[in-house]
Amino acid sequence: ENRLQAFIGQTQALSAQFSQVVYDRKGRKTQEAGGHFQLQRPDRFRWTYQTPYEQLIVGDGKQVWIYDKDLAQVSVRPFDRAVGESPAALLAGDNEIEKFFQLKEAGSQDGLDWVEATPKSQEGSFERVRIGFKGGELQLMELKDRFGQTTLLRFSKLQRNPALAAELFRFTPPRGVDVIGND
Amino acid sequence: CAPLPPIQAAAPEARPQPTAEAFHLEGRVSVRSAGQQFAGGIVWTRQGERQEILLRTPLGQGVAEVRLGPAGASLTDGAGNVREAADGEALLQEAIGVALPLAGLGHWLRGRPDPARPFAGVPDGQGGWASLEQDGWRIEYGSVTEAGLPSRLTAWRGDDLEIRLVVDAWQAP
Repeated sequence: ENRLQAFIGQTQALSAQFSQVVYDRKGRKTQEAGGHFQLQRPDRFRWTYQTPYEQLIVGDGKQVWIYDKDLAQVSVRPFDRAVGESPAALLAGDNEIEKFFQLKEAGSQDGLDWVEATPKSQEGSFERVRIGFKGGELQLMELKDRFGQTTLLRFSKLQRNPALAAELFRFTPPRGVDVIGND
Repeated sequence: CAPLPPIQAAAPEARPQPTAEAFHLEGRVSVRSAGQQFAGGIVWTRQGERQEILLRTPLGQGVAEVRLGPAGASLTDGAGNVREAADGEALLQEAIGVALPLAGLGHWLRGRPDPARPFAGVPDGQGGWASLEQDGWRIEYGSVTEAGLPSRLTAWRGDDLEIRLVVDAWQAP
């Protein structure tokens, strides 16, 4: 059983803060964002970007909703289509996650124990995902895409198995907002 | 003879400002055209004649990258395949199913029309444009940065083509 499977087994729910940095192929920092997220297995999560813009991503167990406030727009897609593209969906998955990812222990480095998750479907836009744990606790996620971009997610203020209200994982598009469904 | 003027302390190496021919933009875009839609991130880099437009998913991963240059256009898709053609817009339509008017947009996102073709415009009273019409598109600017660069624009053509663009950062490339 690798660290991710252990993590899935021991955490039915989680809440944490995250900071996200995206580097382009030249290693230039192109995007910095931050916010907080909650997850409830299986497949339910709420990922809130607070800075630099407001964007909300909700996995309600069947679909994944992405609401961008500035664009006044919601896009929705089935969970299994989103899982290859969204770190939150990967973290919130249960052991079915191996349907979408090939998991492999990737040893210890920089004081963390790493698991490598390679998407099984070509269509997912990640080429490779590495998840770093410290003493079984989620610390880092590194996502590489096919354009040489690297997204680095750093987690903090983790609360394991908090009680989370079910409404957190439901989403109703606000009035007057376009809903783009590519399900 | 007049005393030598004091040696001006060299101005701190001013951060190169984005110019019309050399800029780097990061933002978010949504495109709706005839039932097809795209929503996600956009990174637009221009260096004179060469432009690179990377479209990302809302979560940041690359979906398609178009390169425009004097010799034509190329597109790299999410699986790493590269296709070349004279027209980048056609390549992009094939890759993500929606048409982006790249030629015009490369100027509109700077707050000005493409000088190569006729246009109409409503000035904003500060030397810029509140709205433009070009290539059959109508472009409206929502807000601008202090440097006078757009941070939000919406563009329509006919009743089924709409682009919303929000700029999160302007930089020199």
